[in-house]
Order: sequence, then structure tokens, then C-alpha cells
Amino acid sequence: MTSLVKRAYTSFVTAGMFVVRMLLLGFMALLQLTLGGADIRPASREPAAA
Amino acid sequence: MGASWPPYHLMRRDYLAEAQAKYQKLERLYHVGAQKAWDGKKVLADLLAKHGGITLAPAKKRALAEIFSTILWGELAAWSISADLALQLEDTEAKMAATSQVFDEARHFYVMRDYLLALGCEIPPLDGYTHTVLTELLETEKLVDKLLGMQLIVESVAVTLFRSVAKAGVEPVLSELMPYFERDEARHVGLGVLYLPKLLAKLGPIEAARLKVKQLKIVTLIGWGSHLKKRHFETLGIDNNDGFRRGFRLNREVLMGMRSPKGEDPPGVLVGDPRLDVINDWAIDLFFPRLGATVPKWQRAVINVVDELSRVGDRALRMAA
Repeated sequence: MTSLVKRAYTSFVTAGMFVVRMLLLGFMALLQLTLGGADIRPASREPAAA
Repeated sequence: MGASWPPYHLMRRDYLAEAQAKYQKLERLYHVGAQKAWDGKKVLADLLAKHGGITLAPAKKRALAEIFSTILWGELAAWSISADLALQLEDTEAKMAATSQVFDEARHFYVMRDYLLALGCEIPPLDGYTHTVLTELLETEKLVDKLLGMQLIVESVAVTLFRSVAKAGVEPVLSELMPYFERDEARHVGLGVLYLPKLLAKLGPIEAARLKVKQLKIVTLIGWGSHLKKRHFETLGIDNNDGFRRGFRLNREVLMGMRSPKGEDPPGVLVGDPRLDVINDWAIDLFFPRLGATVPKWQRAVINVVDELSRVGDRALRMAA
């Protein structure tokens, strides 16, 4: 595969993987809001040194 | 070579005074790098002697080889990319900082290679996700892509991983080796923080949007790559949830470091954007529950599907490798 074709191919695959990930995240968020049980912590705002 | 070579302005006193005022911290990265350069051969030999070599169960050795094959080839890519940066950057101070990084990355590569040889385990080939990220950064001719992708995203991931490995106490030689790597990588992030705002300030809206898509691509690949390696992290007792949270906090601090004196974010930067905090928190906790946390059945089932999909994506991307 030439470099340009390779890049187009990997971009296509990555775009697909991004969409799948967002769909799965939305689905899991929905399950969490309805069924609950997962441990969600808004803790990433702590300083990096913590 | 351009007709403007040699760049005589580099010797003009007014230019020098202005550059010194603007990029003094960048020049300092070079001098600190030279002062803190460590002898990789000696450090590794001393640590191996101190701990009587590497003693680790075969399953943990394999897991370590899986994760550190990424680091090994990542260091080689960082070596080439920092050499590209040293060649392409025009300001002397930035060139000095990149040159210092070339020496660091060369040391990181040979120390990691020697450590993995001492581990005595076959090193697996690079996964499709990491391969895609690294080859894109190696092949791009855009300086801003190289600087943002390597110095801010990949180096941040490396710093976070080194800290997680050291914290997990996976193996004593490695645990004591990681802080050496981490200190150097923190300086490399500094090059991006200090110099990127100058390059980003020149971006138009289309270029800024393109750069954001590029970051999204890299972050997506890193996320799926982490799923692929998840069982190896678990074997070593490394908590990905903790690592991702630390990584996002580091990204946010990096973004804050790049803000203008008026507090404005530089254009084209997506990673560390506080508007994404809520999504990031949910994504980390849903996809990477804490080690030892009670996970409901529905979450376990979806994560198993995600893990399987990560292997499908890996195979698809390896086809282009």
C-alpha cells in the first residue's frame, strides 16, 4: 500500500472505531442512568501531583 | 538548502535580546538536560547488580514485554521525531531543547532495549494502534503535528505509564529505572508547552480544526490500544483507571501552561480541554473500572465486547502496517 492509501485506510478504520466507541459510551451511560451500579467518580479535576 | 542560509540574524544583538527574553526557559531545558544526563549503561548495570537481575514469573514477563514493546518502539520513534524537530525548528533555543531530547531518547532506547534483553522474553511486534500513531507522527512533514502529537500526547502517555509502572512496583529494577525516564520525558513535554503556542498562534480556523481531528484520531487509537493491552496491565497490577485520570490531569496542566497571559487557550488544542471533563470521567470509569472495583454485570458484558472489538481493530490496522 502506498503511504497515501495507507493513511486514508487507517483514517477510515479510526473514524469507524471512534464512532463505535462513542456509541458504546452512550449505551453504557444510558445503562448507568437506568440500571446504575458502575463507579463514576468526577475526580479527574484533582491536581496531577496528587 | 534555502538561499537565506546562514541565518545571519542569529548574531544580531537586538534579535538575540528578544529571543533570550522569549525563549530563555527553552534554552534552560537544554542546559538542565546536559546537567542531568545519566549514564544508561551504568544505571542499568548497577540496578541489575543491586537486585540480583530480573526475577519475575513467566506470565508477568510476557505482560511486561507486551507493554514495553510499545515503549521500546515509541522511544525509537521519539528519537527520530526529536531529531526532525532539531532540524526543522528555527529558533536557536527551541533547536537546543530538541537536540537535548535527541540525546535523551537515544539513551531511553538503548536502556529499554538492554532491559528487555535482560528480561529474556520474546518481544512481540507492535500493535496496530501504536503502529498507526507512531508512523503518522514519523511521516508527517507538519512541524505542529509532530510537536503536538509527540511532545504533548505521546510524551504525556509515556510519563503517565512510567509513573504507573513505578507505582505498581511491578519489578524492582524497572521501578527504580522509571523515574530516570520520567524526569527526562517531563522536560520533553516542556518543549511542547513552551514552543507550541508560537506555532499555534499562526493557525487559521481550518488548520486548527484539522489539528483537532488529528488529536481525536490519536486519542481514539490510544484508547483502543489500552483495551487491547488491558489484560497485560491487569496481570502486572497496573490500574488503567488511575493512569488515565493522571494522564488527563497532566494534559489539563499542559494546556494551562500554554495559555496566553490573558488566559486564552491556544487554537487547535483539544487534549486537556476542561469542557470534555465530564465525558472523560464517564468514559474512564465505564471503560476502565478501577482494579478491584465491583463491576455490574451489564458493564462487564459491554467491556468484554469492547475488548473483542479492540482485537478486530488491531487486526484491521495491522493490515496497513
